[in-house]
Amino acid sequence: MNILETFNKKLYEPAPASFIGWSRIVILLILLWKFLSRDYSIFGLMPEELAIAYAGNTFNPLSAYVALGFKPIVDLFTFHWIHAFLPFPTVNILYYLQLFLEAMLVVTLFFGGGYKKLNYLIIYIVGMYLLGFIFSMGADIDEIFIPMQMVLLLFIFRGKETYILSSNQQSPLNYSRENGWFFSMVLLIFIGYYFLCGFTKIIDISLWDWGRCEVANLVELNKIKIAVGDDRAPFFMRDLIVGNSWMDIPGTALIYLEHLMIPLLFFKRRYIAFAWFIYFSFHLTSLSLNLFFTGIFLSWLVFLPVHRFYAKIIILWDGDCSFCKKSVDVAKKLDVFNRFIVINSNEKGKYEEELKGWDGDIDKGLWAKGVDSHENLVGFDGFRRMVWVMPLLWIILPILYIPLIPTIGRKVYAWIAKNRYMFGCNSKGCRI
Amino acid sequence: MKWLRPYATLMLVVSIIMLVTSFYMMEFMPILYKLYSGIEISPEKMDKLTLFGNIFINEVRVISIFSSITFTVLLFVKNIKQYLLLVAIGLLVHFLFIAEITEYAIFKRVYKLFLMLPLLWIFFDYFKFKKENYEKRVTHGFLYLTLVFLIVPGLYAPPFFSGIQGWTIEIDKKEPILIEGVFLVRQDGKEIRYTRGITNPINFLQRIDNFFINKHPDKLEELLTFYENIYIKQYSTLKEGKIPSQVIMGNFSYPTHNPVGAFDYSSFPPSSIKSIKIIRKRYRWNRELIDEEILASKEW
Repeated sequence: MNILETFNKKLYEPAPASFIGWSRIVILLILLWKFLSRDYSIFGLMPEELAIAYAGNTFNPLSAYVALGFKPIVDLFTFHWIHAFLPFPTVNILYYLQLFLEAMLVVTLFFGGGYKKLNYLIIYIVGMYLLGFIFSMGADIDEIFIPMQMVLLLFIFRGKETYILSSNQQSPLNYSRENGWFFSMVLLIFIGYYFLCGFTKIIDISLWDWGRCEVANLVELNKIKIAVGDDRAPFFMRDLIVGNSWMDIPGTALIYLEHLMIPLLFFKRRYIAFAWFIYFSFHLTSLSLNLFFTGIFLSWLVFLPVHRFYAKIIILWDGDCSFCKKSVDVAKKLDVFNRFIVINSNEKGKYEEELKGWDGDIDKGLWAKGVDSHENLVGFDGFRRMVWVMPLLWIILPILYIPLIPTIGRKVYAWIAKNRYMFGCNSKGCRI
Repeated sequence: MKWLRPYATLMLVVSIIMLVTSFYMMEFMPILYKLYSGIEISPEKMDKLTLFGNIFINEVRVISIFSSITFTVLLFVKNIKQYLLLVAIGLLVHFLFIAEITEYAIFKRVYKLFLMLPLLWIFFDYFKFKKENYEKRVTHGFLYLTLVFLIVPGLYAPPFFSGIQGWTIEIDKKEPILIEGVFLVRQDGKEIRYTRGITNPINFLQRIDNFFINKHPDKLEELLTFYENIYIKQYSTLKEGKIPSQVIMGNFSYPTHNPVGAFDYSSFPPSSIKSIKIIRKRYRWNRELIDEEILASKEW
């Protein structure tokens, strides 16, 4: 199978409708939070003659960063071309426009896109117009571009929505190719954003420049600037970084390489949690440089598989293993919302329908399958899937996704599964 | 792929013209300066311009020679696979060597543009955007858009852009530390930093300040009046120890892109302010003030 065939197959890999509803909630809440914390009416105080500091003019053209960020292009995409026909807005107009946008975000949050999903189009147009005052200056680029692209995608998406107060929606656990396409497009938006950032790291700078990123010294400089009264906020992580120059090269290389390799995520989606963890650390570390990418930092939340918090799962365990029985009994106690359908392997004949998809090898450890879902997990991954519905264990859930933990966890689990009868056996046929 | 050879020939000619032009470029530097800054270069800045011009010209030469070699090879390319291989080799050589001996990103990105421009046609020709369902058309459109942003240098069409630039951070601790920003001066002479939190959502005040200082000094008074009006508008919030972004959500408000410092404006009501200034201060690494320069000033 060539790469294009694989791409097309992955593009439509079925995904649950919960993803659409959840990503919609995340993005609209990010935007609502942002607009409730900003005052765009100040642009009504700005004389139109000052509205000339466009990105293409303010950045050094030799850096070529946003060299084409000139008025005609930016105005076209931010709908500021309207000022060719209408006067520059007043404080009041901008105040009410922002209020209208906030109201639209709330309405859409509860009721969805409405007729032809026009609510998303309205949010996009009004949002881009208000944000356009900032975008024109080349600011907020890495902060809010992904959420705005996703609003556009929500408008373009033709499938039904979920988690809205309307009967015209699909079940969150409905898996379909169309929903899978939406998931793939969201993934492509993230990939496009990060890969373009990565590509500049092999064009603008050389491999040797990757080793010339003195982050620790820059963080120290930030600390001194705060001490002499510069406009920066203190942050505890600075003290962890200052003096630790050894982290500069591996840290930089890790991020640049991840930027460059991120297209692989489209094909290997089980690494989304891994990529998320690295970017979580990266965006958190950037606070030491007095930069915080709140919008993109939170946008990653769209990949949280929320259906796992409530979808029922079938658990198949080895009925001959008393250690497994004890473990399953503990798990049942922690299953406070009654999400487990527990099946003893000795009674598998009774559950042929439920056990479809199981490869029949109980030696691999417990097997977990989401009801109404395409999840089919074994061993450590099966255990991790169980944790999603055990609220008392949610605290360890993020830890189970930290890079290397799953690798170690699978090996440890495999060892326990192989030697499970050493911890107790219910059958005469057990070898001890 | 018949068009690839004429394209290679055209780019080869362009590269050679760039190389030849570089030998006469120094004479055009004052014109380029005027085009960029909008003003004639002053005689005292000529030495600096000559120094810059030498670096600029050297980089044009390096890139045009590298470009000439690349497009000479491209003349012999027969199919897409060979072309893609050439792109990969070109980018690798560039990444390992050329990017190391050149400084300005614009030349590097122009080389990338010339090298990868045929991809736009190849991709378009491959998919043709026909006989496809709605979703595939959207997907291919998005991928094509991403490719355009990947290839065209500095393309900026919100909410799409061509990626944060690559940078290096080398800090010389012998060099002074620069602090630039807007300050409010009270009638008794006490001053306070005018935080970017006041103008939020405008975040990068320094960039805007420098733009007007360097390119539109005639509009500096208007800029400072704008800052003044925002301060007056937002003062009721500032005197309570909050920044305007915290009016509704308080401490749980959406953070500013660059977290702001804590400044107490309660004793700086607008009526007590005498002037507003843009100041550049220089410090040693031991936090000792070396000097300060007023870049712009306006009476309140």
